[in-house]
Parts: sequence; structure tokens; C-alpha cells
Amino acid sequence: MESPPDINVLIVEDNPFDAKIITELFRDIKSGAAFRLSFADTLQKAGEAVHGPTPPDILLLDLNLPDSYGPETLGRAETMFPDLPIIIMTGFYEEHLGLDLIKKGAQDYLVKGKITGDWLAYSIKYSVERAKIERKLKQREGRLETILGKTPDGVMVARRDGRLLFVNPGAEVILGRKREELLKHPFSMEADPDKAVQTELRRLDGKKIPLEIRTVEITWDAEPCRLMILRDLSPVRTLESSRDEFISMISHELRAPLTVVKESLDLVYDGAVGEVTDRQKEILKIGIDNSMRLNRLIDALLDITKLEAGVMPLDITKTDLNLLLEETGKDYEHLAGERKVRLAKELPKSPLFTYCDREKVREVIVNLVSNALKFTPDSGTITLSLRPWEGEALICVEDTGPGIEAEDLPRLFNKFSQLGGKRPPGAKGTGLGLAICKGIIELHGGRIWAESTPGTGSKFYLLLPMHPFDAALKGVIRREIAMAMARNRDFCVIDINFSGRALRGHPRAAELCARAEAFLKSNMRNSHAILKREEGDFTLVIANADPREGCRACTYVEKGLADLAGLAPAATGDLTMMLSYPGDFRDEETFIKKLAAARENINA
Amino acid sequence: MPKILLIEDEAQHILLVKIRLEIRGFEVAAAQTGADGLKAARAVTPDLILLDLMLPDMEPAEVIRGLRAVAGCRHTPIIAFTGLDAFEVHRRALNAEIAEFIPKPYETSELLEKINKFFVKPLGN
Repeated sequence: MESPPDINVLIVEDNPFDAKIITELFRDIKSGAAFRLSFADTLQKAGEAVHGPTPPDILLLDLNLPDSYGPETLGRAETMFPDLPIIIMTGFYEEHLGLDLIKKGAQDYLVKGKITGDWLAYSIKYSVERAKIERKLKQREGRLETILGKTPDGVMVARRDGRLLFVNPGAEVILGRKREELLKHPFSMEADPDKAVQTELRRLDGKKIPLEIRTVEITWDAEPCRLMILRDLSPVRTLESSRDEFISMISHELRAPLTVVKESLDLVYDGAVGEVTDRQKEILKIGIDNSMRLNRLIDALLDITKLEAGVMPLDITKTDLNLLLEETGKDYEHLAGERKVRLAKELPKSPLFTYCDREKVREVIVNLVSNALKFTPDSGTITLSLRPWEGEALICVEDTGPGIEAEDLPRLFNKFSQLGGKRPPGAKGTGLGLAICKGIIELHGGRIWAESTPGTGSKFYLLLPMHPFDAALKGVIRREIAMAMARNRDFCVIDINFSGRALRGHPRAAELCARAEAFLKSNMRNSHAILKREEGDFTLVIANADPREGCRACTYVEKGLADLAGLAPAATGDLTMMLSYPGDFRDEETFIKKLAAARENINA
Repeated sequence: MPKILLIEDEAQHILLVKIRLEIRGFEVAAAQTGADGLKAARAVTPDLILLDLMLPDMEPAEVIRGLRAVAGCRHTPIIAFTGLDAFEVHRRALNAEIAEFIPKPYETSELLEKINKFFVKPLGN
């Protein structure tokens, strides 16, 4: 067995008689590690020894030395040798100091003349080991302290009564106050133990800071406390608002000059400012076509940006997917016929209903079919199919084109992904079509993917959930909450019940419902989402609107509907109702519950 | 000859709309700021006003108030160019005075159609 290494003991003792007694004690030790002794008769000499060739592992310290006297000697020694374990040797008359010395960091205290050699050996060995453990603990604590000290997040521990017990530098920076100040006063902050809460902090210096607060219940020094983690959201907000600004910038700044370009060309082309020859017209037409193409590109860019930012407006209505595919097929029959491409349809006999943004889903299918047509050679076949699949609708657009290489499949739906020069001549797209398709389908909680056998053809699949109204609404509200949270904004949901009370038994009910829809779609065009539940019944989501704005919207809609139906204003009182975020609800489940309760109330 | 006042800050846009409208027999006065628009309104007493709601010098509500204060313009129909929808305009309390909205950017054909509505006899090409 390997023997434990020697222990170097430095005895700091100015009384040669005492030093001799201690030396003899060591001689009595029968077994165990060898102790190598060295001596110093002042603290200063001890300091020199510690930095000498054989630094000690432990100090045996007499408190009364020529250069230091009394209990303070321990404090001085600890400052001089922060990593060394220290055992105090005391006289009989100092025995009462013992406990106090341990509290102040001594490993042990031994009363001279009362100890045996074995006792001394144990005490030294234990002290050295204990000191090693303590050092490790200190190291670990130091690591945690570094992490807590350097993280930009604020970390605080608060007692139930709000008194802070711990504050890291990150929290000082975020709150704009010194630790000492923070620890003095009780601290109250809106927080929810289960969720991250986003809030705005108004600091003493007047600066407003968007904050995310996470809270966890913990036990701190045996007391139930709350651990709070604060995150400054300013950089995130800046990013989001610059993205929103970008959206409105491209929609206006790029489009306005383009409108001017096209109108200028149109004016000349139309002959409004003088005779134009056919040859000139032909050239102008190129300009007009390309300005239109640029406009489409801006549209696509705007769409993808809105999809990515989560601000794509939605117009959700009950849709028969079967009919949608039937219609799309018809629209392309002529074009396919010209190319002698067969357009086959494998559709179920009965309708398949879901609530979705019909025009956007149509856009996706149109995109896939027109892609298929682009790539399918003459006398090829395109097959459009639809079938229910595990409670969802599976749509497939299959072509007999050249197919897609396996390595290209994953990036097919990326923005501007050019697939290795396999584009047929003349077919210039925006490079955004499939990325937009993916965004739209995912917005509906669906999935899009492609399969292909090179040389045989490709299959593009869409899997769309078959949503009842409330599920679709829930999805819309979930998205809106996420967005409102990220931007720290309000929004309102307005539920319109025009068909029921107002129009019951009305001879022109159907016509009025249609007019109501037209009214909402033109006058509430900036609504973030318009959902049509039934004929005449709608739910609108109005972004950036506090409850007051929401009420104004309600009044506006009620008045508009009353006007178009010729109803007395009194009859339209409960035509609409409003729920606002975050006042009435903070999650979609609560929203749905409150909406159901409110609807029941109205119908009662 | 029916007179139209066009208040819009982009000079090139003014030129193009002017050409279109003049071909159709309208007399067109134009201004690039709200203040000039009010001056022009006083000078020409238009039969119709085309107003961009995003002017560099004045808020739309202010321009409309100013136009309504001009003796001959108290009831002159206003067609507004805007990126806002009707409810948004209502939110800003503008809608009462605006007869028609044309979302920007717009096609000239759309503009002509809306203008023609205000003249009993549609004007030929």
C-alpha cells in the first residue's frame, strides 16, 4: 500500500520551551504519516517560510507572538495564508476562546499540555483533509459566483414579504440601482411562478425597459423564497420593431416608385401622349411586364417577411378542400391542354371541410400545380389528389417531370434556393414560391414536403388539419398572443353575431349577411385576422388596440351593420362583444372559455 | 370643365395623374403640401379634391379642416389616397369628411372609376 505523503507542519511559537514540548509530542506518534516540522517564532518569519522551498501544509499557531498578540493573530494569519489550515495552540488561561476561534476559521484548537501525540496527529490529518474539501467548495462557489456575476441576466432571491436576500450585478444593471439599496427595500414585481412574464419596468432614472421575468419557488437558508431571473428584452424588441418597419418600408418605399414607373410606361403605351408604333409598343410592353414582375417579387418578399414575423393577416372561412382542388384543376385545364399535359384528379366523393384561409391555401395549391406544369414535359401527367388521413387532409400534387435529386429535397422550401440549373427556359419565378407555401401551411398548423424519384417525377404533399371553427380560432389567438408578447402590445378580439338576433326571420337575411361580409372586408381591412364562423357571424382580431380602441371598433362595426340592414341602433346593442389581451385573457384556453361564456350570456 | 384639385407630395406622381385626367377633360390644379393645397383650394374652388393622407407638412385632419373652412369647399367631395383601411381612418376621426378611399398604390383605372362616380355624365376617353 502506498503510504500517504509527508505532511509539512510549520510551528509558529516564540516560546522555545513550548516548542520543545510540541516537538516531543510528535516523537510520541507511533504510526501514520510522517510529519516534517519547521519552526518560526514570529508571524513575519512564518510568512517567509510559507514562500520558502518546502511550503507547509498546515500551521500550528500560538496566539501570543512578539509581532502579534491575542485572538487577532488568527485573523492576521488567515489573511497572510488564505489557503492554509490553521490549528491554534492555546494555554489553559485561553481555553474559553476555543469556540470563537473555530467560528473565525481555525480548524481546531489545542490546549498546550493537555494533548497527546496521537490526538495531535489526528487533529492535523483531519484539518488538512477538511481544508482540502473547503478549498474545493470555495472553488465551486467561486465558479458559481463568476457565472452569476458575469451573466447579463438579473438573478435575485426574494423572501415572501418581498425582501431581497440576493442580487447579482446583472440585476443591478437592469434595475439601475445598487445592490445595497436593493437589499434595503422590499421589492414587488409582477410575476407568475409557472410562466415567463413580460412586463415593462420604469426605472428611477425614467428609462423604460422591457423585461422578461421568470420565477421559481426555492428554499433559501431554510426559508421559502422566490428566485427571479430578469432578462432585458430591449435588444429583442429593437430587432422586432426594425423588422416591422422593414415590412412597411418595402411595401411603401419600393412600391411607390414602381407604381410611377408602370404608370409612365402605361401612359405612353396607351397612346395618351402621342402616336406609338407597334415596334415601340412591343418594347414598352417588355418594360410593363417586368415592372409587373418586380411588383410580384415585392409581393412575395412582403409575404415571406410577414410570415416570418408572424404578422401575416388571415382571412379564415369554412372551406371545402375538395371543391378548392376541383376549382384549381379547372383553372389549369386549359393551360395543361395547350401543353398536352393530362390533368388527372383523384378526389373523394364528399366534401372535406376545414376552417382555413381559403385564398392562401388556394395560392399554395396553385403554386404547386403551376410548378408541376412548368416542369412536366409535353404529354406528361399531373395528378391532383385529396384524401382524409388520420383526421387530417392529405393533398398531393404529382407530376411526371424530371424529378428532384435527393440532396436538393431538404432545401427545396428555403428562400431563393436555386436547384442546380434544372429550371426550364423562360420559367422565371420569384425563388420564394415554395418558401411562402411552407409558411402558409405551417401557419395553418399543417405540413408540406416533397418526395421524388429522379427521372420519374415528383410528389408534393400538404397535410392540413381539419379544424372546426374554435380550433382554428385558438390557433389564431395563440399566434396573436405570441406576437403581442414579443412586442409588448395589446390586441382585441371582436366577436360579431349578426345572423342570430339581428336577422332572425329576416326575409333578406342571406343578402344582408353577404353585405356585412363585404363591409367588414373593406372597412376592417387592416384587421390582423377575420374569421367567418357562419354566414353573418365573424371574429375579428385587431392588433395594437387597447380595450378603448376595441370598443370603438365594436361601435363602428355595429353602426355599419345597423346602417346596411336598416336596423334601429337599439337592435344592434349586443351585435358585438369584445375580449382584450392582456386584460381579459393571457392564454388561448382562457380566451376560448371566456368567449364561450360570453356567447352563452348573449344567447340566454 | 370640371375642376379637380390634387394634393400629393410626389411631383412625378402629380404629373402622371394630371396627364390622365386632362385627357379626360378635367382641369387639374395641383399642390405638393397641405398649406399649398389650401391656397389652391381658395384660388380654384375645385369640384373634387384628391388628397394624399400622408403629407409632409400637415396632419390629414388638419388639411381636411382647413379645406372645409374654404368658402367654396364646404361640401366638395374628397377622395383620399391612403394605406389605411376605413376603420383605421375612422379611428383617427377622418372618415366623416372622406367620400372615397383609394388604397395606395393604386391602378389609374381604379382612380378614374372612382372619380367618374362624382360626375353625373361619365366623361369619355
